[in-house]
Amino acid sequence: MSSRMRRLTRKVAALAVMGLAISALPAQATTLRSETGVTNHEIKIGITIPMSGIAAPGYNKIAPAAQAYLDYVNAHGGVYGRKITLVVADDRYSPTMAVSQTNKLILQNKVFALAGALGTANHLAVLNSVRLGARGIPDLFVNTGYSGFDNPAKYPTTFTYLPSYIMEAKIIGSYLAKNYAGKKIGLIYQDDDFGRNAKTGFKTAGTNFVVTKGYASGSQSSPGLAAQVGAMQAAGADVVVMFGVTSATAVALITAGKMGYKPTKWIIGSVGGDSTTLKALGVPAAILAGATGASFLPSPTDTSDPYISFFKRINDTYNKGRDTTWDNNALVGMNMAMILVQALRAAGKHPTRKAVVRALIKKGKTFAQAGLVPLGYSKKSHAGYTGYWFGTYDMSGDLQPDGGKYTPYVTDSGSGPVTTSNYKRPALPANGLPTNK
Amino acid sequence: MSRQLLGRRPSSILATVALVVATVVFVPSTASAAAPQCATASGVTSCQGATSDGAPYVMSAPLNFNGTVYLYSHGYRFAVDIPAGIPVIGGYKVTQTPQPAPNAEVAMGLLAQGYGIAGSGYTKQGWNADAAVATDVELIGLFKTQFPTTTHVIAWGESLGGFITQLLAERYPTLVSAAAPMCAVTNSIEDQLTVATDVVWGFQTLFDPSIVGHNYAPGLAGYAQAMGDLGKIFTVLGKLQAGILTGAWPDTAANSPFGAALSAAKIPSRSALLLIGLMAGLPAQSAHFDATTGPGDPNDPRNTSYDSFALAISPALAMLENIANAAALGVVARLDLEQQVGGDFADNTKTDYEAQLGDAASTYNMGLSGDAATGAMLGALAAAPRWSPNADALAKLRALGHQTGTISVPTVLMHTEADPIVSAGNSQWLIDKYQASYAKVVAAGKAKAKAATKKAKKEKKNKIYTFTPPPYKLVSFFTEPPQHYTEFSALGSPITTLPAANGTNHCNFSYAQYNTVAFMAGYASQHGVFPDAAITTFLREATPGFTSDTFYRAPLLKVYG
Repeated sequence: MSSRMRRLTRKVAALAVMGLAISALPAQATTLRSETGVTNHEIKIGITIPMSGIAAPGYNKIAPAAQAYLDYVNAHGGVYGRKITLVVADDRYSPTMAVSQTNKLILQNKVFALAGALGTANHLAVLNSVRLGARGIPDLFVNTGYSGFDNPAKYPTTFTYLPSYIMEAKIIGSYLAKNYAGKKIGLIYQDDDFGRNAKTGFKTAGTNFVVTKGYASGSQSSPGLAAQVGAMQAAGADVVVMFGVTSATAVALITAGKMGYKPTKWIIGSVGGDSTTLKALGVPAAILAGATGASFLPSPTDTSDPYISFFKRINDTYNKGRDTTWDNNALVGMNMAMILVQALRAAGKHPTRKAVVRALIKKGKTFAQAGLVPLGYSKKSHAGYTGYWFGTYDMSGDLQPDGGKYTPYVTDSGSGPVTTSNYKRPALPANGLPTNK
Repeated sequence: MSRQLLGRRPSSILATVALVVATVVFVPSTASAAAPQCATASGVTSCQGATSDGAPYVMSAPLNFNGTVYLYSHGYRFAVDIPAGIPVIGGYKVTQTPQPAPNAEVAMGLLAQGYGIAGSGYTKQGWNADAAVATDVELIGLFKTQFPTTTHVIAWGESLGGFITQLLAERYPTLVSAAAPMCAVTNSIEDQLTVATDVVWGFQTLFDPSIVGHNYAPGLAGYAQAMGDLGKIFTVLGKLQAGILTGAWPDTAANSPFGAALSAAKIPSRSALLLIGLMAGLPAQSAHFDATTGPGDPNDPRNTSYDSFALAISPALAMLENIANAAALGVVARLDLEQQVGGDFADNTKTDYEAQLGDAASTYNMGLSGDAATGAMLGALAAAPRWSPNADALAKLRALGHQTGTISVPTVLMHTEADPIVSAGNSQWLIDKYQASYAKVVAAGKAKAKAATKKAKKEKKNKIYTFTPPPYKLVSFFTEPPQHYTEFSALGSPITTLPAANGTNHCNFSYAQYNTVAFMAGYASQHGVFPDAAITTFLREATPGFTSDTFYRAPLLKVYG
């Protein structure tokens, strides 16, 4: 028992004599620490993500993939000798659960930082209720494109991962203007901050829709999206933009198939466009084939890409998840973990929460990562990726870059233009193990 | 649900006190405090009597009295009888029964440990803070006279009694050595009643325009209106419950252009119910609904009703349960206060309900049926007529006792996080006020020390002045609901007959939780300061049901922005 604990025990015992009983002493002595969640041997990171429930398909592969990469790094010395432990908390895509699970990660698991929290409404609830910024807890690589999280004044410790939905909508809007001018365009969107962000982006891009229909988050499972798809059909939309989560995309495509509705083109937003998940949810490849999708990472089937081939190898060897099929979700998780490792390294040999935040602001843009568009981290912006490339789903249901090569576009969440990116990403570190400082 | 809306049922306390005062005959006096009637039994001396204003009281001390007495102030009791036919609170009869502790178990526990206990039933019921403080002051004197070895008085109370406790500590800091306002109304009753205004106005606007809601007629006519309103509100709640899955609206909504329009737009009535509760600041978790659990196996991917119930139905049912609890305050307390101040004080003329809803529109998006439905509902509310106050009545309401938020004696707060009647934001208001004033004191002290050091340096005196911050005099405990607590029958129906979950309902505390509060207040009354941080943290973590999160911040009342 430490001297601190002995003192505490004496004090509590003395107080108990006063008459009000105290039933139990802490089971374990508190250890001296330099920072919460960091010991000489370990750095503990938490993630809240839907591992079960309506939004789980696809998203439930991200954390095991991230874990696989971290296991690989741990097997090769970790970060300055410390093993990275990822504590996964299932929030079922429920804001109330996300809040309680985040509290659990902070108070019970005592994590050093959060990374990869997924879902706009969920994370908004977490930021409002748990107040990560006030606690100084790094809130890294939030896996949503809601532009409101890129707000260093309001959320000083929060950094996003995905390009914002405004950016995505602006880029899709620009694509529509170039390729489908004069066509009737329809939009199905999630009727919350996610969709609201998208509508802002489309408005900035000057996109005119003949019909727009929202669906309340979760309603894709019941009552389904027949009303939304039916509205597209009734309006005679030639092109339908589907801006929702993957489970909603699947329902929309299947419903359209059942209705016999075949627009000239489906354009599927990145959040809802993971091909293996769509296939797993029962979308026939024949319906998906020919649809346009967008991504900021290389196609997971593009094994000529050094990052992809490396991550795929790690996935084959280290992934202990239930479904280890290599796909975009696995890539998203693994790439996020690689950036995380670099952020922890950049925080120094004795990492503190403040140092991680500083490191991302100062060096985050330079980290090695698979993305084909730049990360936007700076003092003024905590935005992650800043653009997309377009591709077409092939007969296997995989997204392939249009014209056989990636043409990434970048923009911002404001009124800035959409431009072709000339970004050159850093080379894959030797053996995929970052050595940055 | 308690018939004594803002406090505890006195009957169980009575049973305890009866153990020791069975032989005492109570003779109330209205002119001056008569000598109390006392008896000793089972090692406890108990007395009862009446203060000079006619408030009955009881006070007890064990033969091994340690000199410290806990003076309890009870919560809000209706000032009028409630007809038996009214759900939830029907059958209540006005009572002045004195209450010396939160419940019998706590009373017996304190007596067994050598503490004294005291409490009155006050001279009148309803909102009575100013009179109650005067009664408490007198009762302290009476206790000290009866038990002259008294050295410390700890004021504690719940709900309105918490308000009285804080007011007593603010006005008479030398009379009490520690205070514990629990599930307390803070600042002013005006702010608290804005919550009721939002809920009842929302019900009237969307569900049943025949609800009077405010500006009740004087006398018996107003009483009849208020009782009628209670009946209507509970009828609407019943119809909303019946339509919770289908989204069907109560038939009375057809009489409202706003409710009828939303119903025609196929917006589920449960979404309108949820919106009203959220914009008023009521919690979306209730005694039996956690907003996280659905029926069936959560791990069965075919069970889509688990998540749709948890996300869309459970928050609405929670709101239904919470509003059933809060409706009585919205109606009966308003009637009470309107009669006290001579008119209507409700004012939502400038309320921005969209702003009040805030980010809850995102968090409960599915329950609200998405942005489009939320926008339509907010649009309806924005177009509806508002309630405006009678200026004289409002001025009189504001002249009633209100708090400054000053904390002079060590103070312990306790609140359920999901309190549907007196939101935890009430305690947060007090915390914020104290933190701000403490920070000011510290900043001033540091500045003074810095200036003195600078001056000394200028005068070439080798002296550094330092500032030692004063002890922090506020400790707060919040009880948190478990992550999952909704239970379902084998048929998949939610079970609402179980005891309310920890962290929900009003003043819903366990013996251990009261015990910790009593201990902290007792320690602080003896030492002038709280035990050191490690012990406070230990107690916070060791007491079942408290959140261990010292960063927890309860949402303030919506009226504070």
